[in-house]
Amino acid sequence: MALLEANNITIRFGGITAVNNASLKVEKGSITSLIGPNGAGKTTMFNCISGVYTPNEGEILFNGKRIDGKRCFQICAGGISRTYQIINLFWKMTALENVMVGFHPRIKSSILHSLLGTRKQVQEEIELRQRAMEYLKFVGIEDTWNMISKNLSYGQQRLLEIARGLASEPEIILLDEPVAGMNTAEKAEFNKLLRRIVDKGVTVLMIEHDMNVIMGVSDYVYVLENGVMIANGKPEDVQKDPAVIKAYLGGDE
Amino acid sequence: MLQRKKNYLLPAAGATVLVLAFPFLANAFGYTYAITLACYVQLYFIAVSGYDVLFGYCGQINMGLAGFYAIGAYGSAILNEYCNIPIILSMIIASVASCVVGAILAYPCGKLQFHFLTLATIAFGNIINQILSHSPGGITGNFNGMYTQRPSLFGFDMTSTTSYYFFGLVCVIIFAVIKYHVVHSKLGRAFSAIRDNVKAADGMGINVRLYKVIAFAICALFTGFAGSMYAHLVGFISPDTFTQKQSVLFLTMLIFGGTTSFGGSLIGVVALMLVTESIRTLTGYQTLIYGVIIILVVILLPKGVFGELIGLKNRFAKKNRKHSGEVV
Repeated sequence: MALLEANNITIRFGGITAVNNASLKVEKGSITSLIGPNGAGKTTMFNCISGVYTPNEGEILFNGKRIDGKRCFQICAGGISRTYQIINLFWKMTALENVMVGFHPRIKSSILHSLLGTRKQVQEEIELRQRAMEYLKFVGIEDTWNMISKNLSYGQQRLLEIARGLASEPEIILLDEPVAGMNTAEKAEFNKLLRRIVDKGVTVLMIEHDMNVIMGVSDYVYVLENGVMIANGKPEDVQKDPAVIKAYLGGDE
Repeated sequence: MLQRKKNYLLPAAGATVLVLAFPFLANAFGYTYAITLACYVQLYFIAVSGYDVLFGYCGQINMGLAGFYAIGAYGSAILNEYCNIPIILSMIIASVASCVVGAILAYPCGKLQFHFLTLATIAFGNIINQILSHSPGGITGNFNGMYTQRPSLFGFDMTSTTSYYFFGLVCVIIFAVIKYHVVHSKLGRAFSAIRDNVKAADGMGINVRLYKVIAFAICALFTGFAGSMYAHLVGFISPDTFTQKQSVLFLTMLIFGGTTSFGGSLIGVVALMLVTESIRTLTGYQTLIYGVIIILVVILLPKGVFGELIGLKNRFAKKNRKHSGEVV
């Protein structure tokens, strides 16, 4: 059984069909990529899985249970975390605090404990700070822990989003164009980070445009064009697929 | 670290002594009215601290604070007058009632943003004011108002303003501790997350609707308790106090002092109390003056007086470090 399964998803916005009868499967422990030209519906697909939209048709299964129709915060608490194409950090908070917000669904102390500031809760807060620091180290930006997230560089902000996403201890993390705006050195570093995320036991599903990243690390690739899945397979097979070449480079009718 | 602690010890001890000795000094020099004003500062500080949780941390505006203030004041007075519930208990029940009303109001209002939220809460404040002045069976005394009594706790009578001052001091400490815990826990972090980025907060597993309701409820609890303290301090309450003007006063205090701090709330309350006292004769123009203060502060001191002071201090510290050649 696949970890995440989307079957025959269709989403319409008024008269426009953004995603049309698309399906995908993500195996546990793999890196799966979703590629396609601009406006193909990749992010819409992500928004569907993470609960921002509810699909008009089709079903999404996570560990065999249906999750379509659930709210974002429920899906996050259920073990699916995500990052955003347009960086969505908590801009006035420090890097460390951003990661600590990520812990939210896993905090054991109840609201009442927080109000009273019991010893257990205070102890947990101290542990959370240490663990948040570990996540910052994991993505390699521990020096910036005390900086306001707005003042970080673009690449650092992307990495902070990943650290925050990992903090909720997800089974799968959805990365929406994680290397957009990174330079070559940062991209090489990111490829290593992806491997470390998978080694940690977190499955990765990502949207990406950078073919070097996709072909280098993906186990499986899905290609979306105009809301339709036109191809899927191993990266090297997809690269040769005439439909994919046509979608990316154009071709004769 | 130790050095820093030493630097703070002396001023902290001095402030404690001053706060404890204040009513006796005021009595000795014959400024008994100053003690009453200090009691006002205490109860306003509680209300503004609660508002800081909602406005400063969670980023939600509430212009109907006078409504919660009224629920606390009238609730406690009515419970004591008609049900003979001892005053401290009636104050707690009334503020819990205010907290529940806050949560009920927040549930539908949680979907509103910006000026729509402002309008909805203004409407709430006005509804409460209407109920006070046209109450069923005249239970609130309508336009004539109500007389209230001073509390007594374990035989410790609080009829003198000095003893009420110390009672207020204990309340301030309790509520400040609650606020501290709220801010330094997952609650405070969730509130700040909602303020900074609702979409991302939702994506990070925070139930935005629920936490907005909690923030409103905390604000209503604090304001309600401040209202009940007010009722038993002045001994007489009437609908005139619980108007839109009162809500604007709370907002002005918070913005003037600066949000997301204890010092900001305190500076705002003290400064605005002094302003209010000095323009007491210009009754018709008070709201106008508050409005001018808000506009000036927003333009000139966007972080509030306290926030700007902290900013200045940090800049100074940086400059000093540069001059002494230390690595930052």
